[in-house]
Order: sequence, then C-alpha cells, then structure tokens
Amino acid sequence: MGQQITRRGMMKTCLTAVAAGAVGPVSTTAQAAATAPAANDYDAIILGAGTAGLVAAVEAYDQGIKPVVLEKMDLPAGNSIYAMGGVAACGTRIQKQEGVAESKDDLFADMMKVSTDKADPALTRTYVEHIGQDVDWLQDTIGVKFRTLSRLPYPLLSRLHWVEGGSITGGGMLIRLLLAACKKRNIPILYHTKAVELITNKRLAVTGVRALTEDGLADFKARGGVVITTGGFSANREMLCGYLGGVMSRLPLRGSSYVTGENITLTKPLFAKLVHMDQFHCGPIVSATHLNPEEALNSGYGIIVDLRGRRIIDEVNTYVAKARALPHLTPENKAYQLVDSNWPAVKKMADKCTDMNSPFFQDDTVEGLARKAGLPVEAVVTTVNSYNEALRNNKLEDLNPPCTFKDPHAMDKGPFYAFPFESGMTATFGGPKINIKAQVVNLEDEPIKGLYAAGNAAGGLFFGDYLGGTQLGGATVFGRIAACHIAQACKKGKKA
Amino acid sequence: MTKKTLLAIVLLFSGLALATSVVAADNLADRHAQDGLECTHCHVEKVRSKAPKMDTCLKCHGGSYEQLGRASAEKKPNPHYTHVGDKECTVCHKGHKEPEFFCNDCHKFRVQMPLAKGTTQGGQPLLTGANP
Ligand SMILES: Cc1cc2nc3c(=O)[nH]c(=O)nc-3n(C[C@H](O)[C@H](O)[C@H](O)COP(=O)(O)OP(=O)(O)OC[C@H]3O[C@@H](n4cnc5c(N)ncnc54)[C@H](O)[C@@H]3O)c2cc1C
Repeated sequence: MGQQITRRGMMKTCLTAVAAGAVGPVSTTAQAAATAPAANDYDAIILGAGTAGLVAAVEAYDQGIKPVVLEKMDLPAGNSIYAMGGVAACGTRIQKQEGVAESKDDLFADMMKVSTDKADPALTRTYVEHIGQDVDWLQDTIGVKFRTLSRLPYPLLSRLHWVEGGSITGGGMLIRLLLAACKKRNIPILYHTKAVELITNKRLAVTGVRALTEDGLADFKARGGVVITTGGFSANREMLCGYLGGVMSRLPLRGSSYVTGENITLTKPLFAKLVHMDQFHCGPIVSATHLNPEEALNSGYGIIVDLRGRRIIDEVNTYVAKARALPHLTPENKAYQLVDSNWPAVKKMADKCTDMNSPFFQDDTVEGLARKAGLPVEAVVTTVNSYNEALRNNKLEDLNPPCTFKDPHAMDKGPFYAFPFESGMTATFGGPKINIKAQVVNLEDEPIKGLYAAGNAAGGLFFGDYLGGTQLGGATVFGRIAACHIAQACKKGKKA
Repeated sequence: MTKKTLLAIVLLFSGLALATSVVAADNLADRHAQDGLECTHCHVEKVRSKAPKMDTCLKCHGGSYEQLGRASAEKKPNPHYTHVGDKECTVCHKGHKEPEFFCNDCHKFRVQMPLAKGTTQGGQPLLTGANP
C-alpha cells in the first residue's frame, strides 16, 4: 500500500540519519535518544499487536499491571490476520461438552512427533498444560466463538477449535475481538510506533524500549519487562537468505509483509540464544491472487503435473508436504493440480477461484485442458493415460513417482480442471529461545532479565512442521504466561 | 517550508481542483466540490495537506465503520469489513486522484469502486475462470 511504503521509507531515512550521527558502538540511536521526549513509564511494554501481543496486553491488565502495546503499522498487520483460525487444544470446556476426550499426554506426544522430537519438550509440555484453560479464556474473556468440533485426520483429531470468522478469516476475527478487549480496558495501543532498540541497564537487564514514533524517537520505560511479540522473519528476504538459503528463501508470502525479523535484530545484541533459525512452515498459494488451493491438493483426486506435463510427487502427500517439495522439484516453483469431475467438490473449488478472480482452467477433454492451461498437450495426455492405465492394472505404486492413494480414482470424467499453485512461505519458527516462563534466555541458557517473547517471535516450540492450530495456540499460551510473570515481578517490586 | 506556505499551496491546488471540477467529477474532491463542499470541510487536520482521518469521513458517510460494514455487507468481499481491519478511508478513497482498492495489493477481486475509471483489478488483468 502506497501510504505504508512511504511511511516505511520515511522511517528508514530517519533511522539512517540517526545511525549516521550516532556515537559509540553500543547504541545506534544514542544521540537522538538524548533529545527524545521524556520516557513513558509502563509495567509491561509489548512489542507488536498480533495474537501474542494483544493476549499479553489483556492478561497484563487483568493481572492489575499497566501495559502498553507498541505497533509499527497502522493496524495489527502480522500473520494473525491471515490465519485460518484453528487452535489445537486438549481439555477444553468445549471438548468436555461435546464428550470428546483428548489427553495432554497424547497431544504432547503428537506435537513432539511432528517436530521429529526436536521441539523443546519443556515448552511443549507447558503448551499442553495451559492450552485447555487458555481456549476457555479466549471464549470467556475475549468473547471468541468457536465452531462445533469435528473429527479430522491425524494429527488434528478432535483437537482443532476453529475461531468462527464469519465472512473474514478466523485469525482476523480473533484480532478484532482482542482489540475490542483492549479497548474495553483502555489499554493503549500506539500505532506507527516501531521498536528499534532494547534499553538495558549496566547488567544488561532490559529496562525499556526505544521506538520510532511519528514524532521521532522516544524511550519507553518498562518497570516489569518487555515482551517481544513482533512475529518471525518471513518477510525479511535478507534473513531468509541467511538462515534458510536456497530456493526456500525466495517463496511468495502467504501471510504478512511486515514480519521482518525484529525478534532477531532486537535481541541479538543482548546475546539471546537464537534457535531453530532454519525452520519454517510453507503451504500452497496462488501468489497473484492469494487464493489458497488447499482443498484441491487435499482432495484425494487427480494428479499433480509440472509445467512440462509430468507427474512430480506422490499425490498422497499432505498439502504442506506438497508445498514443501515443490520448489525442489520444479525450477519455477509452480505446478498444476489436475482433477476431473469424479471429485464431488470440484465445482465448489472452481466457484471459489471464480469468486476470487483466480486463474483455473476447465475443458471437456484432457487435450483441451492442457491447451488452455498452456501445458504441453502430448505430455499431459500421456501422463493422464499412464495414470489411468496403472490404476486399471493395480500398478500405481510402480509409477515414477509412485502414487500410493489407498482409494485411488480414475481420471476419466469430464469436465477436467487444472488448478495452478505455488509453494508459499507461511511463517518462520526461529527466534530467541524462551523458557517455560516465556523469558528469553542467553547463550548460557540464563534468562535475560526483563525480556520475554511469545508467538512467532519466540524460538523453541516448533521444528520441522507444526501440528495445525498450535501456532495461534502457542501465541496465546506464552503471551499469557509472559504477562503473568511480569505481573508477579512487578508485585515483588523487582525485575524478573 | 513553513506551515503557512504549505497551507497556501494546498489551498491553491484545491482551488484549482475546485475550478476544474465544474467540468467533470474525476475524483472525490471534485465530487465534493460539485456538491458545494469547501476544501476545509474535509481538510480539518492540523497539517491541512494531510489526508482526512476516518472520523471526518464517517461524519457524512455511514456514521461508524460498523455501519459502513453493514451497508456494504452484500458486496463480495465486503470492503468495509475485512480480515485486515478497519483501514483509513483514504487508503482506498483518494481525495485528489483515482481510487485504489487496497485489497487488490494481494488479491485480484473484480470490484467497481465509486469514481474509478474501470474495474479496479490492480496489476495485470488475469486469465481467469471466465475461460471455460
Ligand atoms: C495463511 C496462514 C494461515 C494460518 N493459519 C493458522 C491456523 O489456522 N492456526 C494456527 O495456529 N496458525 C496459523 N497460522 C500461523 C499464525 O498466523 C501465526 O503463528 C500467528 O498469527 C503469529 O502471531 P504473533 O502474535 O506471533 O505475530 P503476528 O500476528 O505476526 O504479529 C506481529 C506484529 O508485530 C508487529 N511488529 C513487527 N515488528 C515490530 C516492531 N519493531 N515494533 C512494533 N511492532 C512490530 C507487526 O506489524 C505485527 O502486527 C497461519 C499463518 C498464515 C500465514
């Protein structure tokens, strides 16, 4: 958006000017800070108005302390507003009411499994211990309405609580409700206020935040602590190249353009322990229209071909696995899900594309379809015929790559459809490692006093993949924990 | 540039807009001028050249953002009730130039905005589902 770009440009110019005039290596903004307006005092300073930040703000207020949220954009602009809105939980009131038993130990085991046992077990344990009551809290305190539970394939099972979004994303609704809860409590959310530096005392304990406001740099003083909830670095190309490298660092974004790695830039100077830096989540997207073609990829029907008309992957894979593999399988990071009218939901998928003015192709014959999609006709026809023949002869597993659908369907019922997709970046998992109190730890695994992180800003909870719904869940659990811990510290009159 | 000079320039340009507006309402400011509104009706910010804030617009349009959202509820997508939250009106409804549909920074919805010359799609027109 033009306005924001101008603002960002303006901020950059300001920062460069400040940095150029700065004295000494410690603070890039030292000189400007001397002339900055008087410090604003709060108990908790929360950086970023996403799920984690707004949850922390509400909890801090309800714990009887004085929070402020600093948000660099004009509105909450992180990944939360893009989220579909699933929250994975066990032991919620909803589950009890619906007679569903999901145990903490099972959820723990499955979260560890999807991370190939590399997620931090203590953080994962904390998640499963808290998430039940936290989903109840989202209902009671924030007013979130969840849809009726439905039994989903492993590992989601009856764990996924969908935020009812109405005509918008569940995540967008969650943010609207959290903003309303903040407004009700008169919690200040300062927009156009970008944290640029953590202020520390001589023991390197965090005592405040320096932020760029519309009126220039300003210092905010934190009596209890600072919570970093600025999201990950999925929109910071330089960091993606540095930490992920290769083709995966150049994916189109499925979420926010404004989660730009301040979780790293703010905490690294304090020797925070940065973990899981090469870990991320990706999924399918049509980058031109931001359509999520997930239903087609998960339909259990049809085949996936690249721009040369060849099958490239076992279609039995989940949409996440398909998206993860695509950039390695095709230089263009682009493929087509071909389906026929045996898929009962094909019309619905086509309607979704039409509604979003997103490209797809349809024809009564495979030849015609390939022609319309601009794919090599002969190659596509051969691929579809070979698939159908292998299916007839029970030889799908001998194909290259094999197709291991348990219940495969022939591709023989027109009209035929082609849905294009690419692999897109959802979110990064790396960041400053937190402990079970949401405190950021240093390279010696000691908590950095006064510094907390939650949500995609924090490192440790996720590795490899994530169990659907645990990201919004994690933002909620550790956002609340950080706020409670800061409140305790304030009450004891010391920095934790 | 002093505030006074800035104001003078803004008023001068707005004056020009007012003068030409008799010919055709090309943009929101023209339309407002045709309806007999003074520049200062919308330009109430301390720095006069700044785009008017949502509250100023809501005084004449809708009363509240929720109300606007209800009024455009049948549109797909509802431009006044989205997952990105309640954007400032002038992000889309530009005063002195063609409107820009913010959603189409990422999406490619087919929408007809008031005072837009054509269908605002943003970026290149797409080959779409219209091709079956
Ligand atoms: C398409 C999509 C679908 C998803 N679906 C789900 C789902 O169904 N379930 C699930 O669990 N997860 C889902 N996720 C992941 C989920 O959206 C994120 O994990 C979660 O929203 C992260 O929340 P957060 O509070 O950590 O950060 P964010 O929501 O990213 O918020 C960070 C905020 O910090 C602000 N900020 C950044 N830097 C600064 C600074 N220096 N100073 C001040 N402010 C700053 C940003 O502007 C932003 O507002 C999905 C993600 C995507 C992209």
